[in-house]
Amino acid sequence: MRQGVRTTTASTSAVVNCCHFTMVALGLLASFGTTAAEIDPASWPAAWHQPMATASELGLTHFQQAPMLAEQVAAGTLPPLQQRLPTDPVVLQPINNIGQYGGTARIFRSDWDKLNNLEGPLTVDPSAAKILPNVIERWEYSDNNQVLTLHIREGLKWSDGSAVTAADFIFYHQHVTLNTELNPITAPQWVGSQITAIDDLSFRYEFPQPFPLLINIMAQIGDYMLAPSAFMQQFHPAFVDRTQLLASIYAQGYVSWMSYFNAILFWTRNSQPLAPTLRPYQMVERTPIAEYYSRNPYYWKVDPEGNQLPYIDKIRAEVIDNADVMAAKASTGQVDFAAFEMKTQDFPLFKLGEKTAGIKVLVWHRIHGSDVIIMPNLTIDDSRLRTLFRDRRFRRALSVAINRDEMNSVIYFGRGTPRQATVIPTSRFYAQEFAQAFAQYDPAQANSWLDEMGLIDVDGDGLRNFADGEALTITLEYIDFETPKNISLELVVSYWRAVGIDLRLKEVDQALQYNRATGNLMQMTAWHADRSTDILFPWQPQWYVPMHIGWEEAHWNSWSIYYLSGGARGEQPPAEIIQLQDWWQELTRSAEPARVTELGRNILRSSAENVWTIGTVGLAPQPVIVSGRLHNVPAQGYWGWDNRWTMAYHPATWYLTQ
Amino acid sequence: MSGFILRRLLAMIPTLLIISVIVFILIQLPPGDIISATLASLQQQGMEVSTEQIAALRAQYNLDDPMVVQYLRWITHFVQGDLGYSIKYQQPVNTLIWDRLGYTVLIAVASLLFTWALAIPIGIYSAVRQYGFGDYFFTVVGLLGLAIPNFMLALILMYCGYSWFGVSVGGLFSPELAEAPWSSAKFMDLLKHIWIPMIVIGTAGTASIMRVMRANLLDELSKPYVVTARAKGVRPLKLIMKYPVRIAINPFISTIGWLLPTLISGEAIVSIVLNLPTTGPLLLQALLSQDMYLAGSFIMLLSILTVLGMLLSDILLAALDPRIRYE
Repeated sequence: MRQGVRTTTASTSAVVNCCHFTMVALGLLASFGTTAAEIDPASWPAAWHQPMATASELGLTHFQQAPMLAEQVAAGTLPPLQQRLPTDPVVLQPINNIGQYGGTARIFRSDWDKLNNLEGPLTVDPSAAKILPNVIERWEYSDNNQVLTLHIREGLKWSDGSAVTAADFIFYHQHVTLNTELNPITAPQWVGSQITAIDDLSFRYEFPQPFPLLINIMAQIGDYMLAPSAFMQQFHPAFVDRTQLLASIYAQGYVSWMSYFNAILFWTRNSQPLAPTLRPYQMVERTPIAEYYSRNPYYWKVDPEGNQLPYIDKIRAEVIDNADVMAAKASTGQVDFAAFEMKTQDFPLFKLGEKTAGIKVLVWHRIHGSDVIIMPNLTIDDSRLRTLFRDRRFRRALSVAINRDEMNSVIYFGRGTPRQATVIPTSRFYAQEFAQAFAQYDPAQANSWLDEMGLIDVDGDGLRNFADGEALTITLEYIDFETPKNISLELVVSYWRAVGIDLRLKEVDQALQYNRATGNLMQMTAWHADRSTDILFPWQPQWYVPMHIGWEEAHWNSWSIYYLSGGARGEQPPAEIIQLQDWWQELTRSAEPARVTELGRNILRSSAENVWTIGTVGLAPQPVIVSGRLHNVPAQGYWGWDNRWTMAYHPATWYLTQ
Repeated sequence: MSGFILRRLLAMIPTLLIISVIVFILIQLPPGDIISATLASLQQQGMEVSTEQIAALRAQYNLDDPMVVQYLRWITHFVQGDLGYSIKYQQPVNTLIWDRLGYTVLIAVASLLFTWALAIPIGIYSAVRQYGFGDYFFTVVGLLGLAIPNFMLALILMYCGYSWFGVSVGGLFSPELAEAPWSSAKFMDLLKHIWIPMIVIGTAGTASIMRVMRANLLDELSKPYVVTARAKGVRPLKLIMKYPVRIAINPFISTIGWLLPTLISGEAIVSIVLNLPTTGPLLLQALLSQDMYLAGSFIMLLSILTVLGMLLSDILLAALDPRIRYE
């Protein structure tokens, strides 16, 4: 049998059949039709795509506050609203209508920051393609892009009423980021950086090399750039007596001042002291059952009628360990918002809840370029596998052997986009051919490439052998979390078996995944291609360029190690890989927009042609469950780390009715 | 008596010492450590952590020290009542465990009472009416309870609780009352929720206790002293309760000590399914993430309670059964 082809084995076809069965059951849910995975930007208010307007621009002069705060003002425990709001408050446009004050939102712990999202120096627009001002009102780069000058919005206050000033950024940079006890290894973006105050509200960062991407980082993880310095200084040995500080910390059971400092700053303690915040809600306390948040009386954003946000008074975030219990609670309307732990495969359950419990099931799209990507290890020690994996025909053959349309309908109810791993369509680097390269199902083509490579089934077991007759078996080690990896890979096993490739799956423990991936020991692994937007792709293109070592990628770790260690360890990559690294280096330093786009596209084109990683289905549907009493949640959105899930959709404007 | 207790207490010290060494080694055996597991959860959220940072973190938590040094540091703190620091939860272990202990004890005691209140009378009844309809009936029900996995029963009862009585899924309180101070309404709410874990955790134990009680009592019922007493015309109820039941119940007294460790190990799986704020899920998480101080201190507490429980059983047994002698 020259072409070693067999349809499916009993076990894998059982999986497929079972999925088909689910599909049939789902076909009954008529309201859940198929639509494109791309979102029309017009579905969000036009104001969200622009820098946020301020009260003076809209002619707002009168402001109102929540009854809960009005009581405290009347009782004299809180200053009046005018003294709490900034000089010119920011105005947020709710997506549907002006909300009403009050209520306690019930959510799960993992969604706490989805409702109480960060207020970083900068922020992103709903398409995750543009960077917008937030705490920082204006910024300018110097001509050489080595100096970034930033101006803080006037009159902002932390939730304890203290002013937000340049000192808060300087404290964080000098005493947190560059403190070798808190952060023994300086993050790469901060190596050699300096910060200088210009006045109370202005300061500048200086870098030894051009760093135009700093604003991306400020928009995405900007919460790690400022802290309420006046408050946090009392827990920092640079400002108080170390011996006394340590004595009180040890007495509370903490092992170091760093663990205590972090517990206060990042709210991992159960009770006060907890750091004041710029977020819409301040953490109050944590019990084994739940976390409690209460509105920030100094929150600095208002709605177009001058009502101080947020609308909701309090949040109760329940701590639940079991994902099934969470799905059950969400589908029966016992929480107001649930998304992070909600699984794509539970859509049928949620749709049932729409009828029985009055919940709303919104379909957002995960911002991953591909929900599951498969990575053959190009630097594996086994020389035969290495030769095989490095042959471009082999990777292309594996790619076209996958029936992505079927995967899309079986796993994602037709709501995802069959594609390779590449940036999402809102990106400036996007080109349709990158997404579709070798993504069409063509088993005949796959067979002919594999035959051409001399991988023939010599023993007649229906599976191809190496040219020397040895059995060819590939082991894919993976952990099954976040995206539906298990079922996706089961399908891939059956597709590859159909072209005679014997793939064995091995689910491993998280610690093992880490050790084996970073140790270059895996033949193949799988992950999800996050960082596929204009916010993070230019900064962390780890799927497309060997520039990072982590537990998530195992396709070229020896090359990455070589690059990161400056050639001291690892293995020297071939010229075309060095070219990729050079392009990326230039991209991170270039300020010429046309050149940046060109460099990004070069990298992505190489990935499309060479199929460094094998993508499956991208922009997958993410269930966002909203109870009947929560309003103003956008019907569509991009869901993921790049845009911090809900940051661009302004959860402070969401409100509850009874 | 006091000499006996003292001897036993002294013998515990080497036992616990050996346990502590084994526990410490076992926790560290699997590949990876708490840092790689913590990293897993950080990266799950998308946080970037580099290889160098991991090494630094490891040094900060003294994970690079030789295992002997780590062990000595842990055990010397432990005997002083400092259970260590949980790297996963970023909190002192003492806080974590005490927070959850109250509910754990509450559920353990409630389900224990439920088990005994149900199992002992039924066991007696089954023995006295051996091979009667009731005996068969309870045997079947009891074995069903034994055979159905706890988590399954928990899921079914949760479903019934929600769809028939509107009791919220999981937890011990309705959300609106959870943060309220104690009141009669909150107490009623607790009663509305606690029956599910009570039944779920209780049923598994019920069947075996029922069967043991029945078997023990049957052994006694055919003994000559019972026949004699019966021949002398002692009233049946008084006869059974006063002599054979007292003897048949001994095995339960001797296992009462085993209950102490379950007070804190809880029923981990049931607690996870039912989302109960007990210590069981905490222990499971600690073991999964190799959070060694949390897991190690937890298991040491369990071991201490087990050893103490055994002693307690022996003392109780001796007190209740005059035939037993101290050696």
